[in-house]
Amino acid sequence: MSIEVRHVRKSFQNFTALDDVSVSIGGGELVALLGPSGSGKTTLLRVIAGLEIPDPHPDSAVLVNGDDILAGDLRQRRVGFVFQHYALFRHMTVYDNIAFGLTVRPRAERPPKEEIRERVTRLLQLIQLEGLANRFPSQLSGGQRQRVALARALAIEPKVLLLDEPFGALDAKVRQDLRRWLRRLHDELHVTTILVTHDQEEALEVADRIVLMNHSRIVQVGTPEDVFHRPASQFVMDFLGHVNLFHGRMDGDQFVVDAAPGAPEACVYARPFQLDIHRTEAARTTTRAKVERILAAGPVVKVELTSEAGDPILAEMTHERLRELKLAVNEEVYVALKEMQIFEEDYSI
Amino acid sequence: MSTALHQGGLDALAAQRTEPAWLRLLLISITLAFLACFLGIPLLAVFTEAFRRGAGVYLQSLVDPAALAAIRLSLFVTLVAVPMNVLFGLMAAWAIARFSFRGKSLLLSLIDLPFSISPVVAGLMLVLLFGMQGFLGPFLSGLDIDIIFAVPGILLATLFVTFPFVARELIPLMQQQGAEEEEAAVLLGANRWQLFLRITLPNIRWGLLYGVVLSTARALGEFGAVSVVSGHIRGRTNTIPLHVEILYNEYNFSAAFAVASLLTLSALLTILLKSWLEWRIGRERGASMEEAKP
Repeated sequence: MSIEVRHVRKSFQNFTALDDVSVSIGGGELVALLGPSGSGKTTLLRVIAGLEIPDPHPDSAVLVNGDDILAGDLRQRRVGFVFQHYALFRHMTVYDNIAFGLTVRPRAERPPKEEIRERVTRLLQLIQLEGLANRFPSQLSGGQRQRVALARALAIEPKVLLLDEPFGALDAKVRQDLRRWLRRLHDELHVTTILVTHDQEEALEVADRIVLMNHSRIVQVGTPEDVFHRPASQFVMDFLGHVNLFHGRMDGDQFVVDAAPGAPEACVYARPFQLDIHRTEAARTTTRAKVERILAAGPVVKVELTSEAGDPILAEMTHERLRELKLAVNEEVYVALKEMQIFEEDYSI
Repeated sequence: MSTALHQGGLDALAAQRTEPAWLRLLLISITLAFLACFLGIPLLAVFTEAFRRGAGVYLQSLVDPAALAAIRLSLFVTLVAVPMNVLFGLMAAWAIARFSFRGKSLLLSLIDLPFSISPVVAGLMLVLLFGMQGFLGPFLSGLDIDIIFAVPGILLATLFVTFPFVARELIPLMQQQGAEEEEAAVLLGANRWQLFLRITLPNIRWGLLYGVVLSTARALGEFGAVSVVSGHIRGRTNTIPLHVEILYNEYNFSAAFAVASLLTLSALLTILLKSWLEWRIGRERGASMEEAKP
């Protein structure tokens, strides 16, 4: 089921949460809404679910499979929604929570008891909690509650699945596991899924496409590779991971640090893995720097440096490269750019 | 060994924090003496006075036609007022906890009004409004409708003084629980009734019951407001507290205390129910806190 959001605006008293937002999501896609807190991503998700009504405007519409859902009944939407804090029914067992969406159907559409039991059992197997059907939500761990919330949303065979910061409240290890599990689940079920997150790593790892939001607007839409390697703005670059910032000037289409005055000013963003460290001055050298710390405990070596100008720089290299260079703390080295992202200085801000 | 040491250390810490033994003893004694003087002895006095002339007189005072009429009236008023307050309280709490609208804080203060107004003033307001010299009195008496010095007035007075209990108990509870479970239920396809009966009501049931217990106690025991509008017509507009007053003023102490013992028993029952409910609510809140944690 495809989802299309057209020119949606939403304001709360004096605060604009969504400012003319348009986005379209194809059927069967897994899309991440990514942005800092307060960027409007949860409001957009709630608008798509029908929990928030957008400000009335002639151009605005929310279409699911071509039907304007703002006009329809909330209950007919068949939207699976997983809340950030799960919102499990606290007085019901895990079984009754998952069965709820089936048992509230009008008598004519309600499956017989046996079928409900079968479906709930299958969902319990899917979330790997077969033994816990009679537990109450307060007796479950965070990760287990998360999975029950997901099973409850899936029980109604939703057309779209909406997840609000689904792993936000879990610890790192559980988060990793659930993230992969969700991706596998999506590949199995192919339900159009929108996931809200503020964790760029999560978005990059799980999603087919990423919708980046900032200040109530969408700033970039693209595949994880797109947004990571071809960020549309400094904000996107900065938000998607650690970046080093170098100021300089454009000389033709060449970036020069501290070049002759007169050329337009520019700044260069380079991720730690896009930097190279040399013992001697080499091509594309940007600056001399002093090694402050070497963190070798991990798959890549992280080197913290301070540039001549006093700015911190973070570089990454392989263990082999570190052995080759025989780096030591307090040594003077040259930092070179393997790749970079140039943004001409924007004076409008 | 190490736990013993540890425990010793904790005890030492606790000892540093608390007052010396003689002061603790003194404070506890004062509290207990106060409780005995102002609660224990009066309670005892009610029952000794009630049974002073034997169980026969006690029972006789309770089955006296005027007493029976008072009991019937009190029960009737309570049985009508409490369900109405449950209905109003639920609606008010729902509106205030789930929606934001203009005049919300004004509505909140209006709900609190009966708490801050003296019951006698509340009764006088009704007299001013519905009495023969009041705004609506002549009009209503033209229609042959009696409010003041009749059962409807007593009912209105009782409704007024018991109005805040249910709403006041439910509003903070519903605000704390939030609307997410209800939103989840609606998205799963629940209709209004299913939403209320299967999600909202189970979540607030203990708080609601607590409000019911409090407003029942108040409805049975209300004296001031009811006294102003009742007219004290024996057998017709006397509630239990008013009947006790009349008996007492007639120097019929045994009968007065016998009827009063009924109210005392209901108060004791209320306290029991109240502490049981507080325990239940505390447990439920504890569980929901647990659930909110990651």
